[in-house]
Amino acid sequence: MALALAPMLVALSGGRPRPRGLLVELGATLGLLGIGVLAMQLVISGRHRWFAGSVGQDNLLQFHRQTGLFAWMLVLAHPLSMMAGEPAFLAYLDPTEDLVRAATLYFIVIATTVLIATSLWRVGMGLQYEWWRALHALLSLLVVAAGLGHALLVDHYTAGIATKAGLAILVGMPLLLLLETRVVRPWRMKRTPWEVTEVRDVPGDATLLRLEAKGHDGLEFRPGQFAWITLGDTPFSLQQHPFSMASRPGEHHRLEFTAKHVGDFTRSLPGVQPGTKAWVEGPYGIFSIDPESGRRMVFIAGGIGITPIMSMLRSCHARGCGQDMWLIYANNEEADVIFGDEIDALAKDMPLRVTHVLSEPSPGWQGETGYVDASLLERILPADDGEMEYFLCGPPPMMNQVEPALRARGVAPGRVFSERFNLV
Amino acid sequence: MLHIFARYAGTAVSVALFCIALAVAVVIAAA
Repeated sequence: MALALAPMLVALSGGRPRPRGLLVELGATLGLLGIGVLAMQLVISGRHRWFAGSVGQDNLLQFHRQTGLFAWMLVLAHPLSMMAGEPAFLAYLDPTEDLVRAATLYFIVIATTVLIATSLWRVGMGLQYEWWRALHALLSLLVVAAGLGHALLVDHYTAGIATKAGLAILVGMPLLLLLETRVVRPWRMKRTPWEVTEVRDVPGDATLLRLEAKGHDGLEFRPGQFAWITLGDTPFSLQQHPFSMASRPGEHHRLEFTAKHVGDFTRSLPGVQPGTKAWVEGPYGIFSIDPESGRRMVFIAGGIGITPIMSMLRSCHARGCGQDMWLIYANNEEADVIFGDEIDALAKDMPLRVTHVLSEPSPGWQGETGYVDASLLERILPADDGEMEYFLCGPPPMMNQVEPALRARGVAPGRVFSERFNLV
Repeated sequence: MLHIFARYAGTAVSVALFCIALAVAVVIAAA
């Protein structure tokens, strides 16, 4: 919020120009807020660890979506309010009055609308992910730069040189951060290449991918975290996708991922050849366990959501965790169960009780059926002891059902850790 | 459970920011 308000505070801390009507002043404050919110987008979407901290990238991106929509509303409301309050401002839209000024304003409104529309309806528009990503980065950069230029040239609240400098620094820093994300970071990744060593189809319409570090120590991560993966000769590729690690943290130089075939990139994974170069940016995410906490743990996974939970279970197994654990693993059919044999083996080797739940079971299925709901949790789990921790990863409908069910069981929100799929 | 907060955090912050901008505009216009 401080970042979003900063341009307004800097602009208003300068001289005190003659007050205008309420609508005009509201238009001015909304415009200054607009440039602050737009600059804030560059910071919150840039996967900066110092900023994401304990919030989590998936939460931050949800925040980005909502405040991005708000920024678009501000971009529209700013000129409308100014012109409604003082019709003379209509001249700003007249190219014969000032071509550059009018073109800049038209560009900002159209580009911000394109940014929002392509983000909300990318799939429906048939826009490929990598092109959307390039367009999103380019338009974001240009919109913020054009907005800054406009604010500096208006000369009402930004007439003083100190105000101009303050505004330029405030908005310029996020622009530099965008360059760090898109240029400097991939450049640094060139020093830590990886190689695809195994590509294998796994149940549930998914692919398992193994990577090996080439000439470096690999990646330190906590069980449950994810990384952004790029495949190909260069880390500057537009195809960068987030995947959870299924491997356990102790194996720094070897990473394992499983990805469900839901988009163009994941559908192309089975065709990736061993030996292909790969680039790993991460780790990210706060969805993780402390295997040595001693607290009893409940894992609830839906479909491919088993991937980060598999990393947690493998980690617990490697460290010889002795506390009771429960795994509730929901799938459509028995054939969709990933890591089935390994989970059975883990359950024999450590105090892990596994319950498979199928929504479309075959006639011979003896286990639980339907979805993970309150009554199933009641049957499977012991009463909450006030210390047990719950780790949820699955599709939004499952999460939306399980989270309230846990609350109804008296589980404190601070002991429920969840990760949703719809990151990008 | 942080998601429940996150689901509405962007909207809540947006509303708060708009209210601040509106309040500032009222103060300036009334000055």
